[in-house]
Amino acid sequence: VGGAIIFAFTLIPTRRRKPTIALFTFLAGLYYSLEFFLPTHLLSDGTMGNFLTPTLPVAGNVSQSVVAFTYGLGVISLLTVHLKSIGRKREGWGFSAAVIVSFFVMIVAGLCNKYSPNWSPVHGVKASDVFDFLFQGGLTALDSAMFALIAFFIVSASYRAFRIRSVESSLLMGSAVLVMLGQVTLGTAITSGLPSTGIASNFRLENIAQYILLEINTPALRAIIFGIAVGFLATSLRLWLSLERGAYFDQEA
Amino acid sequence: MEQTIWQKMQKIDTRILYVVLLLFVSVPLLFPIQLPIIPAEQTRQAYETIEHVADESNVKPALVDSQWSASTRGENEWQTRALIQHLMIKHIPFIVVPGDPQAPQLMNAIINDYKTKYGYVYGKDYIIVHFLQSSAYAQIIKGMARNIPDTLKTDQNGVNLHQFPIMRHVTTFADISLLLEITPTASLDKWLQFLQGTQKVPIVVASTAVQAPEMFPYLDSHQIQGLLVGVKGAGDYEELMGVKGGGTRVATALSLVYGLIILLIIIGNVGYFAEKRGAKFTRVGRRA
Repeated sequence: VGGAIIFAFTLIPTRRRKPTIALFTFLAGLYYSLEFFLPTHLLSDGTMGNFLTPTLPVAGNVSQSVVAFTYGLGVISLLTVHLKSIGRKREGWGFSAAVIVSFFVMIVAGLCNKYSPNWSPVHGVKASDVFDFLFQGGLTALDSAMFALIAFFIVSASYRAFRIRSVESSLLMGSAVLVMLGQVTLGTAITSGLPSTGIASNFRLENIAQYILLEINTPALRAIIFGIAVGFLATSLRLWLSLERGAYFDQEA
Repeated sequence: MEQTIWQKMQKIDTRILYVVLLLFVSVPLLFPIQLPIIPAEQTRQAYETIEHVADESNVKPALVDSQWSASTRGENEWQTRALIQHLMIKHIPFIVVPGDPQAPQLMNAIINDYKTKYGYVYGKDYIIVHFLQSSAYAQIIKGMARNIPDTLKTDQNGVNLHQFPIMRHVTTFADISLLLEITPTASLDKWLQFLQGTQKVPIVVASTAVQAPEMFPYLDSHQIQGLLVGVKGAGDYEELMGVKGGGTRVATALSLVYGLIILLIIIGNVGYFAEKRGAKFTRVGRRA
């Protein structure tokens, strides 16, 4: 059904595409707005809601289906970019080739693992073993290694960049060191000799870190969240009413 | 011109830093060091929330929202292991909702490590549903608040959820005892926005340390009932459970790395100030 709908959309003349998208965006937003704002009453299944509430699971499924199509779009985009790069022998085309090969190997391994895990392409090696090897030994290990590299950059950057040059940077540095120490066992071990109750307990590093996080960080962050929320509301309204200018429509114009 | 000791202190070769870091990470992992663990208050709250759920006469399933992938497994894996173990020790059934394409495989691997020990059976004591796209999460949560099986539809193998015994008494979030949010992102916001207004379910969050400061406002307002901060949170949780696992070991290694970072910052700043002071004296001397 989704495929048919997408195909039907492709038949719409270019000049009518923008109003069509605007209409569907408005209707989708209107549905959730009405469901949220309309008065509720006791429904037949004993829960509270209005006439739109029982359709929420269906709307959730439709949303998932729509998002699933964007994955297809992502695959088409990925293949287009990298196949072009290989075809034109651009600089680094070997990396593009690695992407394409890895992409198809993982797809084949994943499908074999799902639909025929016991199939043995090589004697004694099952399809599920191949997938596990690629997933655990390849993807997971590479993903973890990529993220672990950040630790090296953080150590190097903090050593080179953290210089106390002003009052503000002193405050930042002081609070950062206290929160860091209060969040790890080494820090809490330093002041573990202090009593856990009474006035002296306030000087335990974990309590100082907790104070900074809850009494200083939280109000500041809450203010930021309020600001973001107001901005988000304005942006959402602009998107809902299709007032936002996007790269696609700008190119169309 | 030869560098002074203060200048050298500010310009330690990056390769030396990397080797020292490697040692600080690997040595405590290979040769565990015992440091006193004092569980943080927010971790204690998380632990007590699960204990409280387990004390109820009719234990309803917990919902585990797993948003992490291999990139943050250093923190989220140990948190997941600690929380899953606690659920199993307390015989709380659970439904895993994977919010990342890698999450089903990662969660399967973790659960498989413990399920035999605690007698957990797929479909009866736990279930893993299919991967849910994070960009449609708001709509999915709104649907789940109304009807969980009709919104999630199938498990990871495409089997209808209505066929599993664990889902027999689950319709809305009123049939869920607890939400465990294991995440490296700000995904908690959506649960608070689209679920908490309609359903009052206790929420325990396990987040990466970098994301944790954003969770504290919700802890302060009691919108979440517990928080595990990074791998330290996992170590604290293991301490509360009385289990010495990987979380404790990694938390100790992380402690030493934090110590190294602070030490390097101090060395860099001592060099910076000493050099600045030396330059000031030189200028004054020239003027004189």
